[in-house]
Amino acid sequence: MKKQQRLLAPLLVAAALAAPALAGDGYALQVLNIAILNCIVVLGLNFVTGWTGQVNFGQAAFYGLGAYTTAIATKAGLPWITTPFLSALVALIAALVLGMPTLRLRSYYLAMTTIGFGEIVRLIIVHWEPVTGGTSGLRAIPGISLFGFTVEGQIAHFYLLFAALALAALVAHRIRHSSLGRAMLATRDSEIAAELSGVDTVRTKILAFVIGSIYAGLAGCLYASSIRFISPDSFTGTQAVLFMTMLIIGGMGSIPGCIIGAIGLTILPELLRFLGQWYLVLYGAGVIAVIVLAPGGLASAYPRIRQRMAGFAK
Amino acid sequence: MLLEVQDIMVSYGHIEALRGVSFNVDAGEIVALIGSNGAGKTTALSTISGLIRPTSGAIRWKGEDIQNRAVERIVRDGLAHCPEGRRVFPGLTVLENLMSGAAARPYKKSEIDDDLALVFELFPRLSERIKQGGWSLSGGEQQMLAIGRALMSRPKLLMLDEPSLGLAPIIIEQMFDRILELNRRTKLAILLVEQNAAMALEISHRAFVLETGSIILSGPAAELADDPRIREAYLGV
Repeated sequence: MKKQQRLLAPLLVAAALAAPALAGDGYALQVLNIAILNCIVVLGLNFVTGWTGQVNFGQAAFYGLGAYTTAIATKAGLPWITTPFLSALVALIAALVLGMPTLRLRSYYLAMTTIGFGEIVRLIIVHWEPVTGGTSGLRAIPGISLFGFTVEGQIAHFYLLFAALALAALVAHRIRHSSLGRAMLATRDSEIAAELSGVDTVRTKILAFVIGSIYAGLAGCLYASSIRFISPDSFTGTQAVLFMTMLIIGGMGSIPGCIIGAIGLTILPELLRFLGQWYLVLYGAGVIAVIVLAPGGLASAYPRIRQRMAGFAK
Repeated sequence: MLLEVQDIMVSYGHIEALRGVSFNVDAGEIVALIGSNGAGKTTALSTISGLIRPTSGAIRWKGEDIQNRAVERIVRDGLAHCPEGRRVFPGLTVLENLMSGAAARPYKKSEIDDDLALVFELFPRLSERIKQGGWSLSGGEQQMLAIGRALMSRPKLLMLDEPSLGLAPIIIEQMFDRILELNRRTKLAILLVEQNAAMALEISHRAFVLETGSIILSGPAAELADDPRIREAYLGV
């Protein structure tokens, strides 16, 4: 069993690297690129919601902040290299301003604050037309260019985004197994016991929220400069709920789960487009099915199936 | 004197949970705080560890007032509180649970390894389960893990809240045996809150009896165990 698992990871990576050849340079690859960006956003959400247990409905707004920061900065003529830092910085400041007062309190205050924050960000984007382009969005955003090298075409973007996702997953894995990661899960499992163990739970919650927001900000930066067109539609409250659904369906607290959930729920609507409005019915039924059959998300179903198979083999 | 609780009052809204409670713990001794349900035992421990603030009175730790210190700071200063109902972290493995107990102290690998070794020596069952999730443990194992986690902060005083809660009599016996062993070997001071008064008095040096928010009796544990009032009210003989 262990052997199979060790074989599985490189196989998946190989399949992912071959994906552009199968998808071709077009719409399918564009969907795949957006799926990868969503993976990074959901990995960010996992820090605060999956591991620290704080409900965050503002992840789409942080994603939007990152995207608009990059778009506005590059359109104003700043070199691309500055944009990841700017986007991360804007997300970090917003997260601190929201998190510092809210996360001092226990229970679900963050959910309410972030819903309000998402709406404020959306309204600013829609109404600050001279800067944000209002509802029609921003077009012809300068692409990625580093020290004279530019990234051209969707295949090149795919590999770049794939590398970014790999790095994001690696960093998340490292944090999970550090003392900060333990503090996050301890805070989620029992805030009182965490404090009695010497964990500064307020600091832990703020850090998780800030790291998650930076993930969204950086994904937003990559979104703006690889898709090169942004509009408020991509960063609404509905989108924030969708990110939360990706996390729940994939498996809260599991890195592979985040990736499965984000990719599945990005690609599936495109595959099922022919169903029209019926898709929503199927989507609702599918979400309920996963919650009933695999309460820990799809990532939790795998070990359970394996166990059952082992039971059959005996 | 290690810990001195002086005349603390605690209330939840209108309800007075503690009405001027005083007691103390010296280095190296086991002190029991016994009393029936709702007497205020858990409130007393939570007030010492900073989860609840007293409305008046003082809590002195090695001579310093700590009633306004942050919870995690109190842990760092050497006062560990193993909470009622164990509150093991279900999502973390046994080893991760133990390591989170070391969250407040400066990270020194050799010291942490020493303390892990002590915990595993005391509770060998835990060492067989280091990679298992906290959720998968039995009640007795969870209690061992909760005590082990508290020990990982390298405390000078360990406060145990109802370690016998919900455990089978034979496991309770083993648990108290381990607690006594811990005190004998490491000279760690222990403040033990228990409803199981007979067990608590058996392993303690001194005891305080709490009834509806006030200390009504105190003295050497052996003497209290012979006191007719205690025998009737708490020991059922």
